[in-house]
Amino acid sequence: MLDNLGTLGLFVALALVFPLLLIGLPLILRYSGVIPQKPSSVKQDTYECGMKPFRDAWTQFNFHYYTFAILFVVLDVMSVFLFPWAANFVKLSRSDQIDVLVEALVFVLILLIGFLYAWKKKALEWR
Amino acid sequence: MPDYDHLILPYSSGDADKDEGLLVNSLIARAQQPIADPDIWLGGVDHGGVVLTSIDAVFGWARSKSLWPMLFGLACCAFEMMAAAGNRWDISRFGMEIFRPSPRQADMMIVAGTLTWKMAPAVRRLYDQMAEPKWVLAMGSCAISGGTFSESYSVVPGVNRILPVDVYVPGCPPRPEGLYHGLMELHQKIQKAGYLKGNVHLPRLD
Repeated sequence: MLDNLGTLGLFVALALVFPLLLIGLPLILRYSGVIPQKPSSVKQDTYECGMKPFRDAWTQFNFHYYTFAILFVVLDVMSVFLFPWAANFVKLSRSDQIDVLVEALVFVLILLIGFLYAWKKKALEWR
Repeated sequence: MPDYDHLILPYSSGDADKDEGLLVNSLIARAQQPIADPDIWLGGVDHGGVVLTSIDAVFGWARSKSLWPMLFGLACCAFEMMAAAGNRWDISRFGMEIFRPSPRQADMMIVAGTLTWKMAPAVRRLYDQMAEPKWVLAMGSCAISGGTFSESYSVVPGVNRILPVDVYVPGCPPRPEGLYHGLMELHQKIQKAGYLKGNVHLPRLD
């Protein structure tokens, strides 16, 4: 019992020392001059593949990208779930022949209702 | 229809081309003489005390075995560099498998290929944005002296006109073995340089 607690204490000590070492080492190297610090206006400028940056980076995108992305993710995840189901369909359907199909159909139906709802709300139209 | 005028790039206008031309011309005017190579060279510099020498040895070893090159290639030499990075010659044996796509994380610039004056401000800017300490390796005849195009109006006759070059690797293009020889020379140079190595002070570009 006491041995286990000793291991735990060692672990706690290590868990404290190691992060402090990782945080402290760069600071020591920095202030001892091993890591040179020579900031300049060019170096602190935005990296644009060697080009001079111009204008503002905060350009506006059409908000409709968001709904498209969400719909894509939903259908994407659906296909990810359906692939292993389809690959193992024969093995699964040996025991319960209709259940496996119905379960997948219910899953697709739920997503299909959501998809039809999005379609009805004109999420697929580009305005 | 939304108004997209604010998204039109300045490079589509003549003014931007004019600005770029002025920048390139001023760079040509200021880069008539080659920049002297960094003076710490393989001959070996004695740094004094026992303590400093051992620290130098440790940090020199650490730095030389973890060089991260900047990911960019200018011309055909870049293909030999890619071959050197690939699985047959395998640059990761030298602790430099990661070609960094950002100058913030790169230690070393392999100038692989013909540098034109139009490209020169961009390369110089990349070098300026790399963190110290940093090293430059000129790969191939064109990077060393302009090579075949040294008489051309558009080619930089040697990248040492705009960058302080540490190692020159001759060849047209040099084989990966040649590049490796240059890299190993650079490793020796870093180990000799000491941990307080300063970079050559360059005049500002713009």
